[in-house]
Amino acid sequence: MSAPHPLSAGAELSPYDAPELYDLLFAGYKADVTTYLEKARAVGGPVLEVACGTGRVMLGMQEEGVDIEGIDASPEMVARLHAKAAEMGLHAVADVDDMRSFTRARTFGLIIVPFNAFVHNLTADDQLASLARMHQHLNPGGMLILDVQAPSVSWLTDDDGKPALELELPHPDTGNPVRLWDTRIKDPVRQVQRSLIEIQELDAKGEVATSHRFSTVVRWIHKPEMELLLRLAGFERWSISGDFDDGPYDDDSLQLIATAWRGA
Amino acid sequence: MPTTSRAYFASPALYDLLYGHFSADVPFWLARARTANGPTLELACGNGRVLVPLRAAGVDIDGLDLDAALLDDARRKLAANKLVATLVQGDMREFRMSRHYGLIYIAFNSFQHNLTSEDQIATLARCREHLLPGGTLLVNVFSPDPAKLAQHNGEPRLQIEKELPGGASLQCYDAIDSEAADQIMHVSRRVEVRNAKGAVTERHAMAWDMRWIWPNEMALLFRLAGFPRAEVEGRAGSLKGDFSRQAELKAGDAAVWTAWRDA
Repeated sequence: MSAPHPLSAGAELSPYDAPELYDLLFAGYKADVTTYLEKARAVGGPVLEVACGTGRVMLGMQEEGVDIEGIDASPEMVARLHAKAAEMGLHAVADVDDMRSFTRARTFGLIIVPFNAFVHNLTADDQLASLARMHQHLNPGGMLILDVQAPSVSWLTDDDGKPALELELPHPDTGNPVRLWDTRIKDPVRQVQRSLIEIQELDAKGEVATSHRFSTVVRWIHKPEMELLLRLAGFERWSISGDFDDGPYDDDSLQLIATAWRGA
Repeated sequence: MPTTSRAYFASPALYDLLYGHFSADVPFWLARARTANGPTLELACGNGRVLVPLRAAGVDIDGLDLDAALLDDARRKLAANKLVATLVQGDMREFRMSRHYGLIYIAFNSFQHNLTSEDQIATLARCREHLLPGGTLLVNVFSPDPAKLAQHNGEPRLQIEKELPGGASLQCYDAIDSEAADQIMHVSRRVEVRNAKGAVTERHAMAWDMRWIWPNEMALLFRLAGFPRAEVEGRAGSLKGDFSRQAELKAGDAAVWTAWRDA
């Protein structure tokens, strides 16, 4: 085993600076796309994806005929989205923009913020600015859905500072293992998690051939706090569920899925 | 309807037995009351653990509490010291006093009897209504500690142990279950008093619910209640007689919030 040292230095890069590697790890994750697709079909109106990244969700939905556009803060991720769209023969509308301050030319029936992207807002002011921009861009009666990681007590009391193997999958070209290690330090008072991420590409002998290091800082959100944020941002009503099947949010939930509606 | 837990301390004598010795926070409230621009109001004043010494020190202070028996006991303590104060029975979510205050404070986690955001905001908004322009609201809640939350498994744990006069002793066990997603803890408490020979001479049982509040959430509650500014400081959160200010707020500390009504 070659777990990275928790205090490995030299990880100033964000994982979003390496979009190919990101896709290598996450392109296969489809569970959320199915749900967001269903919601988009039920709503009917145009859809905006905030933090669309390389288009895993957005292009998946566009392929199914959804009228969708996206924004993302990372030029590298958006560039890859456009390259992928071109390969797929799709005309993608995706722009580099900040979720706290974006403006679009139209409003939407549905805005989605999938896959833990909202936790990149690190302060209440940032959280509220982002939610207010989204509220502003919803049609009357329009719906916002965001999914973030659930800060369960067992997660909060996980051992900090020890590398955890988050993901292992075969490299699509070589079949050799690719491993994602995450070493987390959590501050429960400020609700901030600092992560050192190491992505290891193994060779045929099982030795680490290439290692990529990144760091992230995210802020998790508790359920009552999420409801207060939605209320402060002007949403008329909301519901919080613990999975994509509308299951209740409880102590065992792994995800916190917030659905909020703009007043009609 | 009423979501504030009521069955907290039916007996003033039992409250004093458990907490009467805890006075580490009193100098802090006294110092704040002395620098306040106007009279002081204590919400959830109970039987006067804080209010009576502040009144004795000359603070112009009123008190509010939900529990008539606790208030009667506070009045008795005031009278025994030849003191008077206006004590009103009422609910912190909807109280109405006949004057406005330079300082309102809620000590020792009493704010956490509010079990919903609606109740929390209603309480803070009532406080704001009762503050003079520029007045100050102080709220002491505990800063949640995930390690302690992880122990909420319904098993009784020794919470308070005290030596009593004449060789007697007191043990207080809390069994806590929680609904962590909604930040609600159900506390079942068992108190036993033993004589010098170790025989149990008194047994008490009580139960109540409390809600913990994360610091970021508390800041949002102040915003929603109309306070433009709120700050938090960490103080030693033990019952062992220390309420000293900490360099920064940590899990498990007493979180003391200060919010200002705009002038």
